[in-house]
Amino acid sequence: MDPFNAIVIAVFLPFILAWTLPVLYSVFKQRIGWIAAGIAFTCFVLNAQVIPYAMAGTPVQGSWVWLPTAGLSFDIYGDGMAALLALIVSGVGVIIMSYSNGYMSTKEDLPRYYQWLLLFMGAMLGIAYTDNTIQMFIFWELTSITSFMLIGYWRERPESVYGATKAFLITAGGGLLMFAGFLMLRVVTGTYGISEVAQSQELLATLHGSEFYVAVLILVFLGAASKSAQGPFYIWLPNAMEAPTPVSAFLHSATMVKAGVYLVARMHPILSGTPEWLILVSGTGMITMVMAGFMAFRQTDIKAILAYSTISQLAYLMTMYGYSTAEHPGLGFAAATFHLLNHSTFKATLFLVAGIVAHEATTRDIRKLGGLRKEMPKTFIVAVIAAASMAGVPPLNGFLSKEMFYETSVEIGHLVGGPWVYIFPVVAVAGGVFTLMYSIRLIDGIFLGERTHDPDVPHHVHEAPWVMLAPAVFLVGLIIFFGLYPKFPIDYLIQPAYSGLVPHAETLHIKHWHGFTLPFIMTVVTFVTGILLYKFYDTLAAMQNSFNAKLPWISVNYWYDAIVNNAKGICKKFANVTQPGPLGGYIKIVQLFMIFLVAWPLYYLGVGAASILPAGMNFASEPYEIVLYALIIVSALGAAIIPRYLPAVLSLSAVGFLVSLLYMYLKAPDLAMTQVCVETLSTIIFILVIIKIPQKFKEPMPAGKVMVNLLISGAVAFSVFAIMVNAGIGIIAPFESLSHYFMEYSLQLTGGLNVVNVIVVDFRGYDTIGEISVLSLAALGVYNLILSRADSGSAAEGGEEE
Amino acid sequence: MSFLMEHLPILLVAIPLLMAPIMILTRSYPGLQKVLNLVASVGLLALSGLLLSSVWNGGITVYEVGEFGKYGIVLVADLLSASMVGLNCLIGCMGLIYSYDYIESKSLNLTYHSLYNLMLAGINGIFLTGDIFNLFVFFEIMLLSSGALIVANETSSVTKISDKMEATMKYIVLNMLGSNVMLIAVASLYASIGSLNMADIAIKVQILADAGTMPWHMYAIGLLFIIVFGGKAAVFPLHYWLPDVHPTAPSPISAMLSGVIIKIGAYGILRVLFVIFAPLQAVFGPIILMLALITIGLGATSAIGQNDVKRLLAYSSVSQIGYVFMGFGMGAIAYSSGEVTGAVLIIAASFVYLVNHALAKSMLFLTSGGIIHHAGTRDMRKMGGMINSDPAMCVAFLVGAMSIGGVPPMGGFIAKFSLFDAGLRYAFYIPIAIALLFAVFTLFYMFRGWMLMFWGERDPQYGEYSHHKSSLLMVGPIFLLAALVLIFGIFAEPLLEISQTIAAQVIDPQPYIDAVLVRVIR
Repeated sequence: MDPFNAIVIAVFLPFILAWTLPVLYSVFKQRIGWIAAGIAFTCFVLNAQVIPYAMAGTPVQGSWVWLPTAGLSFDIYGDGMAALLALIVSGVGVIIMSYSNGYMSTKEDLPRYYQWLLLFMGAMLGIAYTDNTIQMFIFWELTSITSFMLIGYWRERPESVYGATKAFLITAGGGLLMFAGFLMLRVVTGTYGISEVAQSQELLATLHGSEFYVAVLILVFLGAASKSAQGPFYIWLPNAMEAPTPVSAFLHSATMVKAGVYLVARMHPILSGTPEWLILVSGTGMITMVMAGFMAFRQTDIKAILAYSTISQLAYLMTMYGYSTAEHPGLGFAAATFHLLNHSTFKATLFLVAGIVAHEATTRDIRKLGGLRKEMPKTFIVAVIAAASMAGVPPLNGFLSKEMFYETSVEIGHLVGGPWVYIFPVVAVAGGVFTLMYSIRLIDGIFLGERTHDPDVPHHVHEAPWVMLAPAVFLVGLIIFFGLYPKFPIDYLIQPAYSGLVPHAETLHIKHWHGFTLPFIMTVVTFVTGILLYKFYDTLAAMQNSFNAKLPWISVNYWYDAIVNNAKGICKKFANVTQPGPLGGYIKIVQLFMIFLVAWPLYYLGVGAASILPAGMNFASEPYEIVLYALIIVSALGAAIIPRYLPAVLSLSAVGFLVSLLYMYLKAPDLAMTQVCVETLSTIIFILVIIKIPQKFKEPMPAGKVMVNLLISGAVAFSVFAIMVNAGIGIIAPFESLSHYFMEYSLQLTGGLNVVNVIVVDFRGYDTIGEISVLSLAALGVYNLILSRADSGSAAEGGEEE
Repeated sequence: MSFLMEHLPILLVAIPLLMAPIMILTRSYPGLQKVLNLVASVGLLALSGLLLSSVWNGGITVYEVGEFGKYGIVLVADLLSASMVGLNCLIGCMGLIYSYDYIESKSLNLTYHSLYNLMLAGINGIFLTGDIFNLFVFFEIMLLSSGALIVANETSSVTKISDKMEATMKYIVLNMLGSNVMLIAVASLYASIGSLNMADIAIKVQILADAGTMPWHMYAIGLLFIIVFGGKAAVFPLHYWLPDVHPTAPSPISAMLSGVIIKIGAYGILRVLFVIFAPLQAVFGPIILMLALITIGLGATSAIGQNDVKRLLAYSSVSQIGYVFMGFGMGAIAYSSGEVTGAVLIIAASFVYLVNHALAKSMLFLTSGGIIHHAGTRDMRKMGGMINSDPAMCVAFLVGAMSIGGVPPMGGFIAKFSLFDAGLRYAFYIPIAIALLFAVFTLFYMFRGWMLMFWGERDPQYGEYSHHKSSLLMVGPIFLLAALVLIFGIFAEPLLEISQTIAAQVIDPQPYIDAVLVRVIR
């Protein structure tokens, strides 16, 4: 098959088939899990098609037209790194979906469960093969959504809701930051393409010389860190353990959390090679590695221990990908990529074991477990091998990548120089020591020691059914195989993965025995210290607990809860302050805004106070005009000051009627007529509305408030006055008014002699239709109001209303 | 057919205007009424599609009411108008179908149908007119009809009539204030320029600006239009009516308010401020941008504090319209600093945002109606676990929440992507940073609301959910709109292309002006 087609089908097959599951469920019932696993296996086979091309160093490329206007297309880039992630995703997918057949009760909502698992898998495959940043973001957010749905799978449980919210807020929010980083990258380089930038020396030089380089780096890294639970973002991962255990194994240890690491690897050629990269990526990684490893001690839930362990292991990967200097940009790349693969094998196995233990012993609390080795010997062996690989015991695959980690830590220390020669290796060893300690704890707590007799644990614990055991055994097989024959994964997966991204990569030479080198000594130190310190494991955990109890604010979770749980209350208060309710305040704000808008041009243009009003205004007026004006002013004031609604409304309508008198005086009887009609109608509407509002007296206004109101309305009145007066000077030369046209053509075009009539029915007849509609509308509105009053009247008789 | 094509613009106003009295006359025959109105509304949708395609293929259509050119009133259908009309007819049609089962039958028969038609006529009239006084007239039709519709009764009402009255009061009073300001502005404009035709005014304002003789009050008049259109769009500090009105209105009317009516404000800014007062962009650009940023923050922050699902959506509308206005502000600033392509790009992004928000939010309001129907309350704390009892509303609300939150593959993502990308490209770093921060708020409040309603379990003290689910007439429109939300997220190219052309015409209105003023003497 054409490899491009293979990739496209692998990405979209899960998306399309996921929607058929509810239909298939009605036929296959609980066996639907095997169908889902079959789909995943198909994807695995399709993904494997990419390997020959990756090994040959000719990545599979192709694209579809998508949004040409926005300069976006659907771009596929299948190199070794993409193939590695895709194979991990689909491979673990097969294992998890098979395992789920035993783990998930047949009473569960299985179609939904497998549906979201498949959608997630499709999104992850999308991330793996994407070649432009926007497409990356799209699939990225899809994994956030699917992960949210799966963490909240048991949606009636408050813990699930809490965990899902936290995971979604942090990963999707971080995704938005990454998105901003991508857009900034686009601003600098002029393209959304990833490989395009990575392979262009010119664009890379532009980017590294740009003032936005650091901004891009930080934003993109924040996205990656939030997804991979690094730094302060780690807090979502432990709560994500509310998901069913197979989901945790799949999303929250083997694949989705790798997306952040994968992004760092993918952006490595573009952003690495600077001190900022080393400090940000490795620095965050090293701190997270040590802190998370240490914090695993106080956890009592097996899955929580594994969650902290995942955070710590992902931090290993971050640290190694961060090992990069200008002379040696891809120092830790190969080691990190190998560890990425290994971590997926041993961590997924441990999660499967956790699932088995929880399934058979009905609890995940490590304090209640113990001594299960006799009842579950097969599970015990599987767990020991996986834990040993995690702790770095030779000859398993974890040992190989752990030694590479030590080796590169020593090298980077030498390259950076100064005290860093010691700091890098020491931190690496500290991480190793903690890993060893909690690995021992897992085995010790669950399988060794005396059998506890806790009421939560059944008297007879059975060995796991083969459906659940087989996937774990298969993974353990991989752990041993990769450990004994590292050449196989290196040649087919790791070498193609890093050689495509790191220029001038050397071939990896992996041996179990290098002689008494520094990394070997570090390994020995790790084992000795770890085993010695294990005696104090419980003491250390207790210390952590009391420390946290004393200083609760030290925890990131404390701040997350403080912000998110109180957000609603704070925002409620904010909304109540900004939106208090009474109309008067709103009107005042609108008026103030109006004053600002009129005053702004004066300031903007620098108009002097003298030229606000036009020169030579005529203030002369007849005595009866003055009486009319005075009456208008008095009734307007009355409307504002009278403390009862009804008289105030009447006073307001008096203004309107008085204005109609003014029209009459100005010899416009038709206008006056209209004004009277409108005023009558609006008064009726007003009264009908006002009657529904409680008829109590308005609060007496304090004098200060009256003054403020007066000032505001005065200023508004003056603004309007100023505009109208300026406009009233006449039409600005050289323009002329329409009236000449109307005068000239009214007879000729319409046959009408009365120009006003002609304007109303002919020139602007369309307006008139509109005005008629407004009037009929007002009438309809009145009708509606009367109707609803009648309704509520009858309701009041029924005793519903007060 | 040729008659139809020739009179398309006026038919889009005339048909609903005529339907209003017909609906009153047939009020005793509810069945007939429903069929007639459905036929009219679907026909209107078809006509609007016809108009859009004819404008897209054949350029700007000018329709003279009478034969007086700029001295009379012209209807102008350019791509902006035609798209807005299409949006109105689409959401209007969906809202109407939904109303058949949602609005209480007595209310529906007596006045609802005719008021609804008047509202559609008013909105189409606003979008199609080329005359600024005529714009005012249709503003009044739209305002009064929508105001009267807010008090219409739902079948299972959870809103007290006094609350409705109070909300209507706020709606009418605050918008009347805007109308008064508009009247002042239009009258002063006419007194100074001597024309009401928008294309004509645009030329004359440009002449004044080129000659450098624009008096200060022309600036003030231009800025006053911010109150007029900002008030319709509910931009800070003119948004106060919205959070009270949207929740109390019946859901299909909320959908119209949020989907179309607040977009009228955005349309007005594009048509009046950008086209007529183009030389003022340096003045109003920064003001609009500032207001928009405050609006985004205010709306999103307030939305987090809400327990009422419709109030949450209402504040979300405030915040989202802020994003649209942010684009307008950035576009005006870019234009006045000489970045013409930048301005086109940013305005186009704003338009994409506008369309996507209109679809998603009207769909969400319709969905909230279904939710209220089912739960018998608007308070989200009294819901929970509805994913089992009403999965259709659950899916619809999720699609809407994802779109509003800008999560791919929904249309809202394309909107945010276009806007942020265009903004960053022209160095609006701080506005985009603020917008991004509140995009996280948006995600939070939308998903929190969704989880409160659909996940968890209902507290038994609030009783059982009602057994009747949303009917087909309610679910149909919701799912059609939801499908569009998804389609605009995946096949977004046509929308992007149209928006690009619209923005180009907004920034360079010469084709519009020519089409209106260079007339063929018949």
